[in-house]
Amino acid sequence: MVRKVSLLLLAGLFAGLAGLAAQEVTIRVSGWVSSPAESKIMETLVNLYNDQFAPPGVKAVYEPIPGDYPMKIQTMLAAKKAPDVFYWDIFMAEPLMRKGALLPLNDLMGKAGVNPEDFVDTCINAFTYNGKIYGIPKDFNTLALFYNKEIFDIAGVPYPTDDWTWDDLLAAAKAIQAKADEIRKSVPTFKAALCMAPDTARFLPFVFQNGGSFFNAARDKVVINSPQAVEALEFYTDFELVHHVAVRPSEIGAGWQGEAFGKGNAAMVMEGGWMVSFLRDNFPDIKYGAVELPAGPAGKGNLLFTVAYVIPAYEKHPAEAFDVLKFLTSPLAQMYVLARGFALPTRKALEGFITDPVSLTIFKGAAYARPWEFGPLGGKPVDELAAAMEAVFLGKKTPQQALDDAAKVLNERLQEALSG
Amino acid sequence: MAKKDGMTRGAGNPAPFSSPIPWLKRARIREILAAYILIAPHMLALGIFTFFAMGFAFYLGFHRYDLLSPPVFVGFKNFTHIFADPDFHIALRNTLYYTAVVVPVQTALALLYAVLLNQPVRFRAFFRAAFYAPSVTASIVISLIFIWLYAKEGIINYVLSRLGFHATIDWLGNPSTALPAIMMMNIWSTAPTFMVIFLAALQDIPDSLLEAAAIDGANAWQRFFKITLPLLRPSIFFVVVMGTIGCLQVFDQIYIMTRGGPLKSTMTLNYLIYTEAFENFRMGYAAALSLILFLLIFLLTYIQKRYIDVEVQY
Repeated sequence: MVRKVSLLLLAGLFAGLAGLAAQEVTIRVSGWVSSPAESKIMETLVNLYNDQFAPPGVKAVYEPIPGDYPMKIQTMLAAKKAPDVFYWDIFMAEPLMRKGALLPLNDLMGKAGVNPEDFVDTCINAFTYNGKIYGIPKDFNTLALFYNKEIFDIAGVPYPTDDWTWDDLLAAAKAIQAKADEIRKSVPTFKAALCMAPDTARFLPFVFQNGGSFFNAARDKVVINSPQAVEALEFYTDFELVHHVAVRPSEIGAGWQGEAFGKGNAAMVMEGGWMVSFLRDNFPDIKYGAVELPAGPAGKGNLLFTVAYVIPAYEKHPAEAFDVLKFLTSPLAQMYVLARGFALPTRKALEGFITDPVSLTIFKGAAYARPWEFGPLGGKPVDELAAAMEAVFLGKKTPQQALDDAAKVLNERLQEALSG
Repeated sequence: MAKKDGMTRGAGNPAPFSSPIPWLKRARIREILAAYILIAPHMLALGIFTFFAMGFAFYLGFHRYDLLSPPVFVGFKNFTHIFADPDFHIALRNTLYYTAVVVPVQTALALLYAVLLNQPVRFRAFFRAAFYAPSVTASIVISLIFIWLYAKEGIINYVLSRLGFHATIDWLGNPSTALPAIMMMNIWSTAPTFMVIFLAALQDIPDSLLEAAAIDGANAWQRFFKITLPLLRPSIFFVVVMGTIGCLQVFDQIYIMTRGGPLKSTMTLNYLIYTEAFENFRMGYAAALSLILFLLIFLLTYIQKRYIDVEVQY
């Protein structure tokens, strides 16, 4: 027994010495997993890096994080146990940048010859704070109006186009709803022309299209209860409450709008580029198209969702970690992701390679989209505004009351966040 | 309780001592030492994960802390914010409503189960096990199953429609039914735990008392309300206190089933603490909220101790 233990100890000692001699640096790469396809892509990229690009002594490992991602990462950051390179969503960016939890990348980018100008401006600007770049966006998405061609054909309504307005959307929805019985003969699951959830990420584009915004110009006040925003919420909820041409996913037993669309519950939904792989994997038979979101009285409006790779501020091997990050955002890696139909590249040079018509529509949205972020408020407005929308849908509050209440809570939080 | 061996030996042995502490015999010292060593692992874990955590929560309650920057002392600011926070009022109301319904109903149901299963019925062992099964099933599993049962196109609505009620209620999606739906589920799953306690207590009641009452002409109802129930009082106190503490801290079912929604109708204090701590990263505020929850539990337990735990003697 004693012999065995001492042998083991000796072996351990040698292993330790060998490790010291080799000085191998392991770079942990983490992200959430939206689907098995995503972890597969990440594994392939990390293996490719290790085989072909890693400098001697550097090894990248992929450690996906399932479950409550922002919570897990922030507690890991507090314990100084965070991965060396990890995904970070745009709407959570400012709180971390403000608190100095992320590593500024400007110097490393300069040394490695990574030019910020090569990336889509809105994307990289969202991860820039006080002139410092804290993250390199890996891909992005905007919203588009997805429509089911079969349902439009049965109803005899012409397909949506990129130059649709709010009025066109409402008129088409009414025309489709009028033919509901006819549609159900071939699409028995059909419920309504539109599926519209009480979701902040679907509602905000309507605010922008009506000339409203979330913050005031100085970004020190939440103005989501402006007349433009109230009117937008009224327009959004009236599809269901007044015109009866829309349903919420929860009402029809669907988890989200995309699922309702795939099942044929709705003829139109406003969703993002993630629909392409989702529909391909789950509803391969559906015939659909996508056009830009309809323009409102104040013109076009859209949201830009993006995720960047970031490095924690206390990183012990910044050069090695940045080398992995550089590879993951390289034209090669982005081309691979694009080819899998997964997300749009953030590198301007790759625009020409986007051939899929839906992806092109999503790409067009970026020209006028505003970033999906709430400054120091992080994710709080997402829940607060969703609750306000829910209250209107359930008839508990008018749009004005709901947004007044939300703005009051959010402004209190904003003052607290700005003061310290 | 039987006296422990060591205690009798220690007391009855007048052998001359050679202990460094004159009034302690060597055997006694060894015994004490052994006791401390035996409880050390638990005390250590308890000390770190309970008492230190409690102390730290108290400390954080007076600070602003977001995990990433060092805590900043803010005095009573967290507490003054809490009382002005509309979410706190919603959570407090929901928690008290939940507790006020669940505790009496589950206590009564547990007592009913226990009395029924204390009768010499056929397959008694089977029934006891079957009734107890929900209590040993993880709350997460029960919650997931009930999400399907409560779904708009789920079994409960199907059964209702078969019975002629054509209401398609979105049980967990409707703000007026979500909390009651979770209450019903928790009553069903917690009552059996307390049934076991009542069963044990029922078997402790001497038959002689009940027989004497029967001879004196008391009927079954009188025997239950005048003899059994008063003798169960210590168990009822225990069940009510444990039930209240559990209800005031309800969390996992809400986290899994509704995440506090719809319209914050299932937002309880514990869930609010969780969102403030781990979604908004306001650790100090969350710690202050947890101190308030602690005070609430302490107060309610104290009141129950005053009014229920009165010694009964026959």
